[in-house]
Amino acid sequence: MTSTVASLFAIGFVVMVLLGYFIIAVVCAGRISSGLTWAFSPVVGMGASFIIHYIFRRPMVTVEVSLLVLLFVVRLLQKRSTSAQEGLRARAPLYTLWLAGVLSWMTMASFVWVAARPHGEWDGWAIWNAHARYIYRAGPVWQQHISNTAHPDYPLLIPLTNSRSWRYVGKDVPHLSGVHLVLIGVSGVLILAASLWELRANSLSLLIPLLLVGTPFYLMLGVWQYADMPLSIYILATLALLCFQRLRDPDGSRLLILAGFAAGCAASTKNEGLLFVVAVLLAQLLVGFRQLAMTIRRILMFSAGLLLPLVMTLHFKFTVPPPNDITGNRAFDELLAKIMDPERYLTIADAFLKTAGSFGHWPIHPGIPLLAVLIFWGIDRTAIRSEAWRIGALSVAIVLAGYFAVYVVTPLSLDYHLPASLDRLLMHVWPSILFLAGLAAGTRSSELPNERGPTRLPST
Amino acid sequence: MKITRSVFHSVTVIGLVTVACWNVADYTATMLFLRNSKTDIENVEELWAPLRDHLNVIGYRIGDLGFVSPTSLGGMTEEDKIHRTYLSYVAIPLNVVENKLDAPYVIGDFLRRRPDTLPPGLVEVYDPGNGLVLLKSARDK
Repeated sequence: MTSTVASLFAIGFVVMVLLGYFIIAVVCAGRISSGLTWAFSPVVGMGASFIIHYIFRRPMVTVEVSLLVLLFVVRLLQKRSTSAQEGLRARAPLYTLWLAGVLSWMTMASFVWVAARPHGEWDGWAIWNAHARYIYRAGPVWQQHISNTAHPDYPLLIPLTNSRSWRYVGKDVPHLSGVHLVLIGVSGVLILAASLWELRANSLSLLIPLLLVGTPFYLMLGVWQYADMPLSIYILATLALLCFQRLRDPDGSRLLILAGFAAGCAASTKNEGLLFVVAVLLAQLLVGFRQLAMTIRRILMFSAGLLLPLVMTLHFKFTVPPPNDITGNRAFDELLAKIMDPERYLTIADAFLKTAGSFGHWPIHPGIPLLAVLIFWGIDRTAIRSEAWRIGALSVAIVLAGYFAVYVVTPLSLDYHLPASLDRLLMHVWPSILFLAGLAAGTRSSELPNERGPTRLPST
Repeated sequence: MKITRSVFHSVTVIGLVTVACWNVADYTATMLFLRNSKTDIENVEELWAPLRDHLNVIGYRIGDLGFVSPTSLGGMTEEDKIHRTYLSYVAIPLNVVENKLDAPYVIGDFLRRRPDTLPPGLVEVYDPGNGLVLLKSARDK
């Protein structure tokens, strides 16, 4: 990769991050701290860039820069009338440096890996990069030709993001997809750390993200250029933003819209994201059932944010590719036979249990120290009774139940399908599980910040 | 009691950091032991480059591209299939279709061995000498 390519790629990445920053700053004016805004910027910017690239194929850069200028002006005008939410002023402990050091090391190691394997692993090039190449190389007729690839129905957020990077650089340099995904992986760790720090402000807020950095498979999925890692980050971002909405602005709608947007981006990243959208809507409905009118209003606001990315994905799915290999051409009798077969349930349950211990490709499972933390630091009962925590936990549970159900009815052999995908599916919820564990863990009294305490999770 | 709790807290923190760092070290080791040779895709991309340039010169940039190998007409072997998949990726936006001999152009994958005679009805258009050969229908010549 030449220095010119690296510079042009960096410009494209910075434009994307700034787009994300100003979208969050404008939409959530004064409701979210500057630190959190920066943490969420790359993934929100990636979602916005995906929509722009899908709608405006050719004048993409012009539209992005124009939108950036417009958002900047709106933000300037807004700043005069609103005061920004102050970030937590607690002094960040030494662990911040530790996390930053390990994260930098892992990022560099991942870049070396990308340099050695620029096209990524099989699914990376055969699915996501092949789609990106059709979008980039086939010009305006890409929609007619993308069906020649493997899984042409898969959502386009990652392929369009790759194609966008190539548009900025002016040629399709294969390394860029890997570099981009490694940076998005870093932003996932930052979202986890910033969210936990703002909500809990204890040393665990910085130690638990260390467990995510120390999950080899999390970064490998980025290096391999698979879409599973960005999906896991959109799931985390949605649940974290829902937490902030319930805590910082329970009657407001702006954080809900942003959470909905993150969920919509999850649906635009992988088909499993569509299941997550259903899960998070259902979780909100079930947890807030006692205050039905308020819950419905919240769900409507969440859906408003969801709409734009979801419409893009549904438009693509209904107009371009053939049916999905899991859902297309299924016979009722075959489905019924599978649903009624208890053997399948046992096989799948066994695989879930076994893979739960290994999906991160860890030499040592981080569940052991995590469990020790929950035992010795105690569990914050107020936190786990809060609406925000219960929505997160229920969403994760519904997603996992959904994955289980898909395996029950899959047309593929379980001997092939389970080992080929289960570790990646469990990775989708791993950052969110760490987030929920970080919220649930108790706090050492000596660690309470002295200027403004952590935002407490109110129980309902 | 307070001291005991504090010790337990510290031990859990040390444990958590140790496990994370051990896993980080494992990732680093995996990266260090990566073979620094070219991947199969990169090799196929290099082989494809002269044909791509030739097709660009003659103005065939998008559409179907047939694929034959010495064994493909009698049924694709696993190796053929893998190679065709690599070619499908590197040839994008051209669409590589196995055994489609009526496509405007056909790639002959003769990396392992070159057949004594070309598949019937095909003539050679361009042979860069690396095992991939560009063919087309004799009728269109």
